[in-house]
Amino acid sequence: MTEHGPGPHERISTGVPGLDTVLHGGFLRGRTYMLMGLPGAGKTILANQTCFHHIRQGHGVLYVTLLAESHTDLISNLEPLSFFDASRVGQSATYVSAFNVLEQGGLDALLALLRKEIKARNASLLVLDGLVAAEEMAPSPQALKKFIHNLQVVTNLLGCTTLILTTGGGKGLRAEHTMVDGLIVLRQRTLGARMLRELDVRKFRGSAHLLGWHSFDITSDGLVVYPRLESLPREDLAPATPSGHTRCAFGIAGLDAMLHGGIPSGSSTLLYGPPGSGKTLLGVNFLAQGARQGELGHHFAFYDSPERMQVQARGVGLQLEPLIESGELVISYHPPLENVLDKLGAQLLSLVRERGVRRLFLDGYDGLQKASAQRGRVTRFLAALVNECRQRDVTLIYTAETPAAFGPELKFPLQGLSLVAENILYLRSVELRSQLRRFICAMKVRNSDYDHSFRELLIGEKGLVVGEIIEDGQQLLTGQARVPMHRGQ
Amino acid sequence: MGPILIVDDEFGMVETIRDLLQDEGYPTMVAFDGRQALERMAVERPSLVLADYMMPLMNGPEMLDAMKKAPELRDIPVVLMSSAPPSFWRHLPCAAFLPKPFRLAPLLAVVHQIIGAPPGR
Repeated sequence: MTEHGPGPHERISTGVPGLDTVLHGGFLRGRTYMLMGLPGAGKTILANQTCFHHIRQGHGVLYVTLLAESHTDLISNLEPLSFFDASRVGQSATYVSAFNVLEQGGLDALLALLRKEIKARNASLLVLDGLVAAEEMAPSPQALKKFIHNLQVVTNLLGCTTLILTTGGGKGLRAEHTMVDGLIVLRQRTLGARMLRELDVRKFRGSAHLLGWHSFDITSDGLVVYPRLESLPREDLAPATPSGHTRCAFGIAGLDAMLHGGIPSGSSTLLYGPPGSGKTLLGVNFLAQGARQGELGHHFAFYDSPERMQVQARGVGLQLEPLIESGELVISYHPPLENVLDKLGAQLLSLVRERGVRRLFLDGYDGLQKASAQRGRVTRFLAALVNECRQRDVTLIYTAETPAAFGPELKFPLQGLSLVAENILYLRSVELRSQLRRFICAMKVRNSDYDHSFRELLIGEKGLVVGEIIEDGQQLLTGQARVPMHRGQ
Repeated sequence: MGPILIVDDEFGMVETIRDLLQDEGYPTMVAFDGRQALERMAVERPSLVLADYMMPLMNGPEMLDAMKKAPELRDIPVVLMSSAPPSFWRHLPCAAFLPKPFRLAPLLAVVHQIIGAPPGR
């Protein structure tokens, strides 16, 4: 006699990167889940990837197809994928076609076959691929519901986690879709000429999960899921060094003096200015200064390849090569072509959580905007990243471009700015006395005193210099500076 | 060996336990509440009763009580299956208890322990 039933929270890891995070650890043992999506959505790959992961943990798997498609075809399609291991097929992975049994004996015969095969193969994971065939064979919707119910009871008694794969018929949710313990919907969505793959855990009995649509890719290693950054649980860590405890200098004397030593550690800083105003060079200087002190810096670049960046830096007398070689400075390049916001998020989180990065330079905001399928999302995404950086005492700098190089219009590209930028450094080019001059000013530095002046930013062969206050200009912020009129002139 | 009587108001449970026990070679019969179970027992004496705790019309403990009052049913071993806390049923005069949810192995172990191997094995 057992006093306690089987552990209700025993998890079956999916082996799909990111999916276990979405499912808070994986499927629950003995429960029945439905994977729903149109053909090509990735159901079969997801199911097989989970199977081979389960096999590698030392368990048996039963894969039952209900369609007339041959196993030879199924297996030859899986062969190029790295998780697939042909030597396990017929051993711990049993592929069975139930098409004939279903056709000749109906749903009762199918249920009996599943029950007997699970026991005979000692399988703790069952995949039933092609529910649509069972739907077609069912004499009534009631009979199909009864079949699914009985399958749930038997697989639960056998402790066999079950994945039912279905196209869902494209008619929304039906009764049988809601009967199961969990429902995962896979979809492909077009966005202009782009195609996005997304997954939503519509239902997951007995456990919390991450809500909403999460992006995924199908790679030669199978599915990779990128949980929505904003949906990830906050890991409430007490940072070893409290945020803001120390100052992080740029290594540019005039600027560091303006900021009374630099920006607070663990804070987020927006470098805001038109193209060519020096944002990227400021960010790279910031990383180089940290790297010289042994703080790992990462340049997360959308527009400049590492080679181009090094050439640019050399142009202002900044030698990045030794810092790159020593590993204190890393540049990663993400051309803003078809990025997926949450994939970028996963990479950024890995830098912050795992790689030990102390200074992170994200160049720039527009690259995130282009990767986002929804306009309003980037601020929330950035807020989650800022929060993560603050918790880990990672100092974040990111750039955003002003819509216009000149002109009186001053509009921030993002809503809810105070949420995502504790400090703002504003850069601008102005026309003054027939000269194009750059200036920098600190618009905001949270919890800290700072120099409020507009100071000239000089970019030359020997580096960046923040110099004198531009005393003779007025209305600098508009980009159309004026020189004060004096009496008698 | 008389059949194992499976009593549960959930048809899925009844049918599944019936099928699994039949796979092992045990004869079975089923009922969906306690009253129906007593009717079945009047027709054929089971070797073992597997009964759910909560059922309509007559629940597990009521059925057990009725069996204890009937001299011809008094000796039939009863296994109560329930998801209710053990304190609800631990005091009852049962042969064994199976807390729900349970897996096949403990179910078979209990059956084997009480009535032995299936006939012909």
